[in-house]
Formats: sequence, C-alpha cells, structure tokens
Amino acid sequence: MEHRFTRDDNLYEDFAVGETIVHPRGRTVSDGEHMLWTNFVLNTAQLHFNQKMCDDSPQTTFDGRRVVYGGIVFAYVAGLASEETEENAVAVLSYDEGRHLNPVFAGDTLFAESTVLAKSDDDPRISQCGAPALKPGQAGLVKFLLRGKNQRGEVVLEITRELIVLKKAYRP
Amino acid sequence: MPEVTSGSAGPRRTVQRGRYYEDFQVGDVYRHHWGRTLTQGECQLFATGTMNAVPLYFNELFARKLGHPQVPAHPLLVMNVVFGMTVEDLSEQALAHLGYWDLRFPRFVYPGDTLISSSEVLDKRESGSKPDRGIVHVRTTGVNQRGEEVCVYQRRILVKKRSTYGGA
Repeated sequence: MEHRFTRDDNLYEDFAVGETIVHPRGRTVSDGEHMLWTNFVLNTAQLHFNQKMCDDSPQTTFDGRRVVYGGIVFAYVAGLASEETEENAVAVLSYDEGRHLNPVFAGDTLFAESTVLAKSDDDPRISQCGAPALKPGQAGLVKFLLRGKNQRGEVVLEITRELIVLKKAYRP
Repeated sequence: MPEVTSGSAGPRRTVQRGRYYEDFQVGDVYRHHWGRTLTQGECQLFATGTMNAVPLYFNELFARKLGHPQVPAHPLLVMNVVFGMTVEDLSEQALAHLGYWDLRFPRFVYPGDTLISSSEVLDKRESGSKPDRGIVHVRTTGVNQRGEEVCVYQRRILVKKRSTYGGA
C-alpha cells in the first residue's frame, strides 16, 4: 500500500463553519532562537536584538525589554495551527486583517486557535491559486480566523487566512 | 603616553539607519537594496524550525505528488524574507509593527530564487493620543529574479517623530 504523508481528518469536508479548533501544542519562545530568525531574514530593527539600546531607551522600546519580531511570532502561531488546518492545503491564498495585539518576549509560550469563518468550493480564485496539478473540483477554499495566545491567554496575534484545501477523494 | 589606538586618529563618522515619521512622504517608493537568494536548506530549516507540519514544504516526494518540481519555500518564509529586507528603510527606528493587510502570494518560490523587495508609502497620520509618534501605511511587493510578484502585502508601522527623538 502506498504511503500517505498527510492525515485524513483535515480535508475540505472536515471543516465546519463556526467551529473553533484548539490546536494541541504550545511553544515556548527562547531568546537566542528568536534573535536568530530575526537576523536570518535580515531584519535590522535593533529593538529585537540590542539589549543595550533597549536599556538606554525604555520609552521607545517595550519598557526596555527586547520584543520578539512579529513576523516570526506569526510564523510560530501558523506553525502551531498547521497540522490541523494546512497539512492538506495546496496553496495559501491570502492573509488579511492581521494585528499584533500584544507583544511577545523570550520565555513566553504561544498557543493557537483557528475558527472556521467560511467555506466555498466554487470561488473562482481556487482555480487561480497556482497549485500546479490542481484540477477543477478537487479542492475548496476555507477561510479561518487564526489566533495566537500567550500563557496568560492574552491574544498576541489575530489574522484571517484563506487556504485552498484538498477534498477527501483527492488526498495524495 | 602614546595612543595605542593606531589608525583611529582621524575623524569619526557615527552611522544611524532608519526613517522617522517626518522622513516618510506619501507616494515615496523605496527600492530596498539587498535582495536575497533562498537555498533548499533554508527552506527546510524554516518549515521545520517553525513546526510547520505541512509536508509540501519539507518532503520532496509529497511536493512532486502535488506537481511541484521541488519543495517550494513556505509562504511565511517568503513573507519574512521580503519583510526583513524592508526594515532598514521602513522600520529600523519604529516603535512597533502593528499588522498586515491583504497579504497574498501570487507565485510559488523555489530554492535558488532570489527575492527583491520594494515598498510604497500609501498614507501617514499622526497618533491621536501621543504627539511623539505617527502611523505609516505602506504596501510592500516582493518579486523574484524574473520580476514576477511572489508576495504583496500592506503594513502599518508605529514610527517615532524626529522632532521628539532627534536623530541625525
């Protein structure tokens, strides 16, 4: 029997509009790790990686604390949500209305939730999503509200996302 | 006693990077100068290092089953690389990055592609509550080595005012 690389419970048919999926894992952000990702993508904003500058200017930083770069908070939260929402997605169509509502610092632990906002299998953007081998009728669009929270339950990131997700009959 | 700092006797030039609120003009376009090639190892590292449990971005057999020639870069790696190159021009002196709007990925990116970013200032306004800062609204576009758009988004940035915080 051929090996399957994805689960069979996260396809288009499995998502119910209105349902909130509480993702299973949390992730503690470590200090060196978040600085490395910041530098990895050439982000030169020193409030993420220069503690002396933060010490010297608490009024223009987060009270002198080095804040984690938001783009990597976004990637961590998306990662926490990925197995339940994106594993069988063939394309990411969009993100929108994204807000960093609270800062994240080293030592914080992130969690994720996804609320299914809408589904459609006849949106014209499905066929224009760029997935190379996708044929009409094989996938649908699922719109989620993705929320990242910290260990105190405070929302740190809120953003909508539209994924093109395969239907059950077409899972590779 | 003789100076031991040989070679440092000449004039000193202290470099500062980053724009303040006053430096942004609506309609300005910045061509962020670096450009960055993505390697296969980096794509794999990002997908696994952010626990992105989507085999399309770390499993070549699976990526080929979906019709890709090789494992593509994760869209959020593309976004982060496009974003990172904009910081020196847009937000190196920022107080905070507020959020993202209308983020789209018109094309897949593969290892070996080189990404280049540019940004346009769409709007700016002073803070309603704090006179030392303002909000700058930009649209950033990331293209590949053929000039094809691979990532576009809008972003709002909370920026210091030069009038308050000085700077060179």
